[in-house]
Amino acid sequence: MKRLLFITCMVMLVAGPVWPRPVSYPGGVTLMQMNDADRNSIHLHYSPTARFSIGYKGELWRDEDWQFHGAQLNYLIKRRNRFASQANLYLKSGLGVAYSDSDALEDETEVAAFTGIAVDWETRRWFAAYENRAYYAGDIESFIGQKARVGIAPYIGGYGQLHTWFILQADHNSEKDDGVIVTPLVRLFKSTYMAEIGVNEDSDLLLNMVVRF
Amino acid sequence: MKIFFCSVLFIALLWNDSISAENKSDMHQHKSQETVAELVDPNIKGNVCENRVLVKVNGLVCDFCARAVEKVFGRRKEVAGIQVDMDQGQISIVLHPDNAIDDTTLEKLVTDSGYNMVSIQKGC
Repeated sequence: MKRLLFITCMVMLVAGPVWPRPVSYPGGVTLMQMNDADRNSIHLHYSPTARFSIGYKGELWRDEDWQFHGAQLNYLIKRRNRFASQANLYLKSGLGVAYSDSDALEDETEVAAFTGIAVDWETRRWFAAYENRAYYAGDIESFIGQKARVGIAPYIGGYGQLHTWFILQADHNSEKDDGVIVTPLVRLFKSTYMAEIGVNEDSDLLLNMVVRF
Repeated sequence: MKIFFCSVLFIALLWNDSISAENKSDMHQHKSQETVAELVDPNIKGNVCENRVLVKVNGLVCDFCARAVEKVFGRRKEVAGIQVDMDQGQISIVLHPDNAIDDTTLEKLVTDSGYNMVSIQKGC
């Protein structure tokens, strides 16, 4: 927990794209497919305005053997633009159904919901981000998750070029015993395509892909 | 030894970037003029300057996010082409002949793209 607090403080002190924006331009559609040590997830969202987006969210929590399927609403609370930086504050919430196929809760279905904030700050060289999420799925699962990231671009790419970021990610889940999981990763993006690949300290693979239409 | 190697690599990257920034600054004015010329469709008749709008914005730091500029402006029938310059924080817009976009609409398009308007310059 102390490590998580330390990393969070560092994020605030050092303080892109951080996590891909959960809200796009009006009429924009974004597909996010993410895989890490705990889960596989997919999020397809549509932005009617530049202020919010709504879409489908699906998650598979492999170890605990349960799934979430539902709607997710992302709302841009505040954006601060400066000449060389941008900062964002988002509220991300979801409502749907959790289904467990574990030995303890076989064929159990519960109403599930989550909510949390995400804050980020970025320049063309540095970025820092933090997000949390309180998750409730009845008897199946309830937890608070937190994630922090810091990143540096080894070179400043021009518009349209391949961009590269070296990122350090720290995750914490209140229901897990493994404390803070640190994952170094590389992010590559060009045009409207983004990919991230990394390996955490337990040799688990992280692989994320985002496409913006 | 590893720390030393990483430090040297880090300093080299920063130094290389600062040199690149200086070169970009020297070349910028010439490049801007070329950019507008490149943007203009050779089939479009009329004065290049009359069709040009230069918008300076804040927050233009992320290439992936800046794609929104192309999407938002590209949907307008008045727009013949755009060019995003992240170094200068500006968007060069070339309009079709005899077309115009008022300042209020321009500001809304910039906001919809995720940025804040700083200034608008029409013509050359």
